[in-house]
Amino acid sequence: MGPSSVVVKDLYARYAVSESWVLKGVNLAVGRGSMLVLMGPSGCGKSTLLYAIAGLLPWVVPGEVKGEIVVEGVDVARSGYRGLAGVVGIVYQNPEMQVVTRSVYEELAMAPENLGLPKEEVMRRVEWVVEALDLERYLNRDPQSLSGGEKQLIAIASVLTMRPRVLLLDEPTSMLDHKGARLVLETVEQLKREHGLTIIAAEHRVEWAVEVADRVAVMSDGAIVMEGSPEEVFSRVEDVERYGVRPPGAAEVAYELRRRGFEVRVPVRLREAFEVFGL
Amino acid sequence: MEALSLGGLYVERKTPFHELDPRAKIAWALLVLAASVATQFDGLKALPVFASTLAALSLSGLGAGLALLLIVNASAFLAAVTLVWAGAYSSQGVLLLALGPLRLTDVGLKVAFGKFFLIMNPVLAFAALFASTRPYHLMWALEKLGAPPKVALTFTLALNLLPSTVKAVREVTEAQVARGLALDRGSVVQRLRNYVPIIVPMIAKLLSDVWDLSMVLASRYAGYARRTYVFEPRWSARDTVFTVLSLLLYGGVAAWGLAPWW
Amino acid sequence: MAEKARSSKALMVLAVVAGLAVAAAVVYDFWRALTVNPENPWAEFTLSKIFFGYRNLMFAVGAVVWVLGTAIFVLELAGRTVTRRGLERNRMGVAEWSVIDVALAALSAAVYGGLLAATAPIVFVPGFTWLRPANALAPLFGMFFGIPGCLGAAIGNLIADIVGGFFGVGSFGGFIGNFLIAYLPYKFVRDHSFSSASSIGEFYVWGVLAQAFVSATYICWWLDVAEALVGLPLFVVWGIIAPIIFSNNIVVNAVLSPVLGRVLFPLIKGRGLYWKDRIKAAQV
Ligand SMILES: Nc1ncnc2c1ncn2[C@@H]1O[C@H](COP(=O)(O)OP(=O)(O)OP(=O)(O)O)[C@@H](O)[C@H]1O
Ligand SMILES: [Mg+2]
Repeated sequence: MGPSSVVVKDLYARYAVSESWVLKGVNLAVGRGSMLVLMGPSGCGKSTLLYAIAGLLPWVVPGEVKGEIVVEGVDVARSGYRGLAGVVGIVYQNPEMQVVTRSVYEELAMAPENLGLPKEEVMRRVEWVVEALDLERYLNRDPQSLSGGEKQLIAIASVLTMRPRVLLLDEPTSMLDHKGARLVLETVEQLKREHGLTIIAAEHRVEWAVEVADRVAVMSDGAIVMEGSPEEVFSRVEDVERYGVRPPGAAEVAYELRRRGFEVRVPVRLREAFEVFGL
Repeated sequence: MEALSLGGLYVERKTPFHELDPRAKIAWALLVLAASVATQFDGLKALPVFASTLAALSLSGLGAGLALLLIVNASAFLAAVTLVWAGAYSSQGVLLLALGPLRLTDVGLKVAFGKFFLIMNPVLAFAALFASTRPYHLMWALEKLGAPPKVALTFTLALNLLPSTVKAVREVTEAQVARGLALDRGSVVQRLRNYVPIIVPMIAKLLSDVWDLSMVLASRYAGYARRTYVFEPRWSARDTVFTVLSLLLYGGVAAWGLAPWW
Repeated sequence: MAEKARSSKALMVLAVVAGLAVAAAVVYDFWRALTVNPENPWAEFTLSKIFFGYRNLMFAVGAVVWVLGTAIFVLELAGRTVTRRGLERNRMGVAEWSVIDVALAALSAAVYGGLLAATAPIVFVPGFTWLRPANALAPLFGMFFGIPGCLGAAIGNLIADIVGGFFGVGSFGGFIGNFLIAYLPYKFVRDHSFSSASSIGEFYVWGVLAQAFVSATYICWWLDVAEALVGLPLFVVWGIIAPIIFSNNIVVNAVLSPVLGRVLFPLIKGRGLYWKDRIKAAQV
């Protein structure tokens, strides 16, 4: 792993209204240009971790954060989200609240406009993202009439115009249908492949995660309990199931075989399953 | 539930009126107001102004029919107002009609129509202005007029969120009606209380939306620096022509309205 | 001590009784006026007689209300508030607003405007429709969200005017008038939970009685002064609109606001959005 883009050390976090710590000592390092997928059952703290890394907790959402967070050399605990302008872009779960203007172009231009960039630079960046993500066909649409997946795509594009080096995605597909999810996930893959972004995504689509993630982290009750390459994580059968993560379909077959006494390697990706099972 | 018109909501169109500089449209609406003020004692002289607002509604793609709709919606109120005005001038001029306590004179009739147009013309002009001007440009104009940027942003966000909010209100109402809520049943107190199961879910939605919207605003850096406007309106020759023509038309009408010897 | 507590409790009960009694009297009196004079109930309606009959007095009172109300609006948005010790800075001026304040104000405005625009007024006497249930939210936005909620009520009302197609010179009065409806209970009711006698009692004083009078006189004074720009005869302003605003705000807020407030306050507090909690959290 190359130099770290995101480093989290011994992180404790809670909301003003919560009774106890929501994050209880999280440690994490994500290499520049690599992709980490966060998994874990609902309520384990995935979103909270992303909000802390993005400097939103406690800077926007009231709460308390202890520990160290450094993103691309920025000390987030000191500077909050304002120190991350042009460094981090974050996309949330709900597509409806992420489109706040009446035109797609306005939406894409909003962040760089707010940063006060010169007009020509804002336009250059909008043109760049339109070209990069092939958004031409949406420019004349009322954003309210877009599907959920299309709205998420616009939401991603709307933070990319700040030219961030780190992209945080908080379950961007959980409110989408299959088609919408594919649109978003393909875009994410493309961003990793072609633009070298460091990506941390909370995402429960495990088949997708094992295909594109460099690392997978499993969270449980506010801590990271497993971390490693998809192979490392998903070959630990009992642990994965204990922490309430659904293993990839290919691995599930192998788990079942192992339970019945067959010593097989656990494939995590579909094409490996073909090899393992001799198909 | 009766579907009220959302006449002043921005409608995306490509029309000559949409393309005008928002400042030209604001000036125009104020000129309509001024001309209506100047002709408020003579409905006949206010007619050209009325005609011009109808033209603006057509040119902005809303259709002059909207004027009829708005007038019909407010008909009881407008009738009361015009009758009071006609009554106030019943001792001047030539008696045209006497119906019980109502005495309609030619002066009373002129005033009644003048006041009618004084109320309706600006309303129609502003409807055309708001329906043809992007909230984005309203925000820009508000900032230019000296509103604090965060107030301008709040206003614009609220306008942008309105269509989805109205939709949510209608969905919640339909769902509650389907579950047996009868809005127009019972005493005054009961009828008011019938709205509790509509208002409470709307506020619950608001409470979860607040965090989402705050985080979206933060991660798009709202209020971070002095905002750039990519679509900063450019005053063009067309705006100059439109404004000069408006000045001539409404200035002429106003002069006509104020001249006592005409 | 116990003596004092008892007498303050009695005062609170009195406030509630007074608020409900005025609300009931208004409804009854309009119904009576309509039976006596179906063609022109306004000539008979007691509130019309008071507002229009004492128009000069109302005009003088309205001028004071207007000047004070407008000054308070400007001062509060600039982050200053009047206290017993004079003018003090608080942390709620627009310049100090966080993104949460903007989001709260914008969503309050959208919900208030959306409900006003999308719900039909209640027909409480056949042919007369002016009870607007959504109005019950304005004082709650102020009490729960503070100044962002007050501005939300003002902008929400303005937007309802715009999309309803009756935006005009008169809308300025409604803009600040609605700000004040939210502001009075925000500023003067000490306990915003609707779960104690003093909370409900003070709400009936400020959020029902005072608010109705202040908003009616604020809006109608503006309509009166701007008569040449608005075109409404004085009789319509003071004899119809003032009683409508007054009776609507009394009846809707007396009946609906406490019910809604009691349900909503715990939700808002639980979400960490009650303004006093937010100020406390910001100071830590
Ligand atoms: N804004 C908030 N205010 C208070 N508590 C919160 C807030 N958001 C989350 N929590 C609480 O913090 C804990 C962790 O929640 P978090 O949203 O981080 O989990 P998650 O792993 O993202 O779950 P999900 O898969 O449901 O999104 C939960 O107990 C949750 O109730
Ligand atoms: Mg989450």
